[in-house]
Amino acid sequence: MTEAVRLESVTKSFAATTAVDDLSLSVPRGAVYGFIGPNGSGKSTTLRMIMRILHPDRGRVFVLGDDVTQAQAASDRVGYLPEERGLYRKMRVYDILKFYAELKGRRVTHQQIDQQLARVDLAGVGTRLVEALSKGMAQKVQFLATVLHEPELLVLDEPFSGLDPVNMEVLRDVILDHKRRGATIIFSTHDMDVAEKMCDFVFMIFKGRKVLDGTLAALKEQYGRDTIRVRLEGNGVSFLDLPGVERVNDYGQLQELRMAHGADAQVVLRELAARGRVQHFEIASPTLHDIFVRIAGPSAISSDKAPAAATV
Amino acid sequence: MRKAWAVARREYRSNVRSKAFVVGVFLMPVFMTGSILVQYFVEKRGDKSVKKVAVIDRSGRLFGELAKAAQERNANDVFDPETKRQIEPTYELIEIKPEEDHRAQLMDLSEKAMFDQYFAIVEIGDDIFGSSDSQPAGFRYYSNKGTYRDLPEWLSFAISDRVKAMRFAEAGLDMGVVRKALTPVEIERYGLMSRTAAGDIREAEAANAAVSFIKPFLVLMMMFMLLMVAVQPLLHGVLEEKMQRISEVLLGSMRPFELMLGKLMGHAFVAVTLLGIYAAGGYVVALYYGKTDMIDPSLVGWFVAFLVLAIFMYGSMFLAAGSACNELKEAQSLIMPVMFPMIVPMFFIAPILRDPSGSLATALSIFPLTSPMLMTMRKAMEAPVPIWQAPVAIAGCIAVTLLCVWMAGRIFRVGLLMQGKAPRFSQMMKWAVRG
Repeated sequence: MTEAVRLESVTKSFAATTAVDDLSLSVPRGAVYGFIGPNGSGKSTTLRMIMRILHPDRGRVFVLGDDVTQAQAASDRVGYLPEERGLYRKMRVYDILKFYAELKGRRVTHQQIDQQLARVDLAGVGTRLVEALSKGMAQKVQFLATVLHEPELLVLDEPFSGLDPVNMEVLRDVILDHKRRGATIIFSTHDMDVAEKMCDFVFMIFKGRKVLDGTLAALKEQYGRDTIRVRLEGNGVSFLDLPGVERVNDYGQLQELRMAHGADAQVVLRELAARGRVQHFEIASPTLHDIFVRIAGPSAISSDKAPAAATV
Repeated sequence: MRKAWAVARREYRSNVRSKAFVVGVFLMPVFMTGSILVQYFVEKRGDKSVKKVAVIDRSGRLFGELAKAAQERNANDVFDPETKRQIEPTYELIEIKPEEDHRAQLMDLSEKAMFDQYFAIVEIGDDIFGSSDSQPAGFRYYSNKGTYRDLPEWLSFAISDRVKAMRFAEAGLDMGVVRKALTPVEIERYGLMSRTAAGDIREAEAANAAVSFIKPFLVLMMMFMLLMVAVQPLLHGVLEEKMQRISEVLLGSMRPFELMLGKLMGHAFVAVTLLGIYAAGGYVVALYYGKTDMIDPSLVGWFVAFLVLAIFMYGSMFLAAGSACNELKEAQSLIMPVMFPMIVPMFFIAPILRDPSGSLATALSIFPLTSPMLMTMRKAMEAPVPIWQAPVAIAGCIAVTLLCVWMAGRIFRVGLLMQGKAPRFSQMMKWAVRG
């Protein structure tokens, strides 16, 4: 079996709202799979169904070959970091890590724990009480609790939220270590930059429905090279009424222009050169961020119907 | 099951190591013996004041005798029989001549008593020697210290003793003869005769108030205390896990039912540990006084069985309530219906002590929600419980416990992931039924 996780037409409702609507998904083994989507779009619900914390109303969920909607889950081979996380405040770091490993059927020694702690720059905190740790330290301890038993599948809900850039890099490196070890990694994130740099596959859910699913390259291919990034000397150049340009994202120093279907970039370049001195001109694919906003931006959110799925 | 054990171990360790547990183990006996000792010493230290009593004797014949009785008491009866130190107050009787306007006189004396010039005022009517059957003659005692019982009791005894003596004298009877004739007959109380293991008849033992009243009472209180020790932290624990967002991490590793089972097992062990500590302490004390035969091993067995069942029964309900709430205040109102069967036995201590084999005692000690406390209490009493009753109570208790654990497990599963407003009792029942 080459799939780590497979969802087959999964639906889950809470009272009147449908959190996940007829969702199918296949995560290959060894992949880094990024879940993106606006708040409340069904990411956490999907992850919880994979973890067998929630049961789908309809459809089936397979994890590491086991049908978790039917019987015993493979939870010992999975590590789960929920979005909202916490530790027992009155426990020592050693004890809490041992306890979580024990829940996964593993016995770990203090030596093993020390090694792992050192890996995330927490050497020597083993005997400390959780309540004596800073927020960032506690978050790293929590992460270790998730991976200490070397799971085959890592399910991480917003693993980087609230971390400073240094800790974020530490965590990213550890996650990638586990990928090299052969583990499959599914994580959700709001940071498109992270998703773009780390993920083999990106999956976007919006209003409970799948709207993107595929490799980053394929996704970008699908949207085509319809984006122009320009920088002009001096300010005060107007970007209004450029021929063939649908939308302008003005970042101040840099402008991103989205071209209408079939428009010619050369025409835009000539027009810009007429308006000012062009320092930088690049024809590119849209960023993941841009794709996200196109799908889930204010105009999309106000419309009742979710956009059609764009699966590659 | 392996995961449930891991949870049980964690719960046990974190509870037994907690300050509250250690403090509880040592402080409980310290408080109990302490409060007894304090009372004992306060009693010992005694009250050496002089209590002045204004006496208006309208009969004109009693005051002299009464003053003599007070002097006798002050000279002989206010000392500790062993240490010979004064431990009781002396009474000083002051004669007040009766005046025409007796209401004004009493008002005047009352004002003085108000400023502690007198402790109390006694008014003896001139009809005190009259002995009509319909209305016994009396005397009046005025005081604003109604809770002080010793003085009025002594006065009542002394006055009626002197009045009786004078009545006998008037009737020409010899007081000594009459006293002898009026000596009351005393009751001697025993338990039942029984046979030893060898079949010989064993003499009945003199009934001991300590054994027949204090033992069942202590057993009941002990059960109640251990239940609270075990069950309260369950509620706090599950609320902590919810508020600290630990629940979801745990649910990622195990089924909710395993989690609940682990918690219940852990806290049952905590309670049994505590019981073990007290039982060992009790055994050492009994050994010291050579009273080890007062300890009944089968009672300990029943106690442990009912204790563990009760922890699972009430504890699962506490967990269900805790899982459905986000703060202690909400949970406390939800557990009221669960607390009720734990409190109810307290109201029935007296009737059950009075009639341990009656229908009320039998019914309540078999009814599964109250049986853990009341059946163990009956087992601690002298009147034997019919042999079938305890096993029936246990069986009923097991059945209800299984039902409670099953229902609580279903509420627990839904409740743990719930945020926001706490559900109503009826909603929780719906979760339990629908799952």
